[in-house]
Amino acid sequence: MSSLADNSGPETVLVVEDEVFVRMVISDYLRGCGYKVIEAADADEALMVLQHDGIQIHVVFSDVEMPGSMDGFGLAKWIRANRLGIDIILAGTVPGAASAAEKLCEATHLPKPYESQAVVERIGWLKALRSSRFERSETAVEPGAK
Amino acid sequence: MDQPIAKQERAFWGNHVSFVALCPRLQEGWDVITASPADEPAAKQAVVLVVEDEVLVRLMLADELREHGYVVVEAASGDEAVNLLRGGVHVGLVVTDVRMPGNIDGVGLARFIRGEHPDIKIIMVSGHMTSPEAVNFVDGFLSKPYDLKLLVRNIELILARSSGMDPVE
Repeated sequence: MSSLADNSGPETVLVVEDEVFVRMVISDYLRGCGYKVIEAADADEALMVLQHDGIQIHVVFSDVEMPGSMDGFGLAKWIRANRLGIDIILAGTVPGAASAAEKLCEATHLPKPYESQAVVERIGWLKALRSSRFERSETAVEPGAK
Repeated sequence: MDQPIAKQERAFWGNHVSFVALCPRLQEGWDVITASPADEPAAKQAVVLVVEDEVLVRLMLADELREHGYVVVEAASGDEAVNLLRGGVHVGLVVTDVRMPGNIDGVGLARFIRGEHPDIKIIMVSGHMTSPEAVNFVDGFLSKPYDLKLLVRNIELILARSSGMDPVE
């Protein structure tokens, strides 16, 4: 129950993917790399996880094309509107997905099929970016505090 | 005379949570279920497939099992579970909900497993009374809401017994 009760420790990645084998492989790989992973089979499941107060998500790695009430773009837009601070990586084969992802929600995009290691590298890059943003904001606040 | 562990636990939990030995498959071994620390390493090499369409329930159970050292594969429906098993994922035990959307519910999944993968152990969980037919397919039945630790303990017991009689690779 660590994902529900304990938000300290490793970063938590929410993997949203309707193809069970793809979800299993990338989730196992991320766990092997030390991430805490929560699996969602579609955007509706992802929303249930994201709306749970006791679960802190750092990164959402989502497929673009999924069945259900919304696709990966819709999920990314919802996150941008409701959960600031969560990084989003979209994966898909939709033509023009990369530019669409950036326009819609500043999400980063990985073309399918992707290498698992590429996902890990992208998550690490986003974490570094988040850290540098945090440091800049700390630096920016400090002079005003005088 | 010492009672078998399963009976002691059943008596301890009383009516609070019931792990019901409905199943002939389980009852055959009911009086000889014992688990020692030496059983656990072999049993925990087994992969547990959790089949549950409620994501938060699936998450809690999968997390609990991983914390106990199991390798867990998650399926959000009976259809996903069938795909995994047909795709060659080696599973030692399946925990499945009964009522799930899709082409195959928990009872259908249990029937499929008994036909195609008779060595896989099955624990069924449900908030409703399931069909009497299901008891012929499963190794244990737990009514919802269930106590996670009790479910994990019974998974340990079933896998430990299984590893003694028919080692799980």
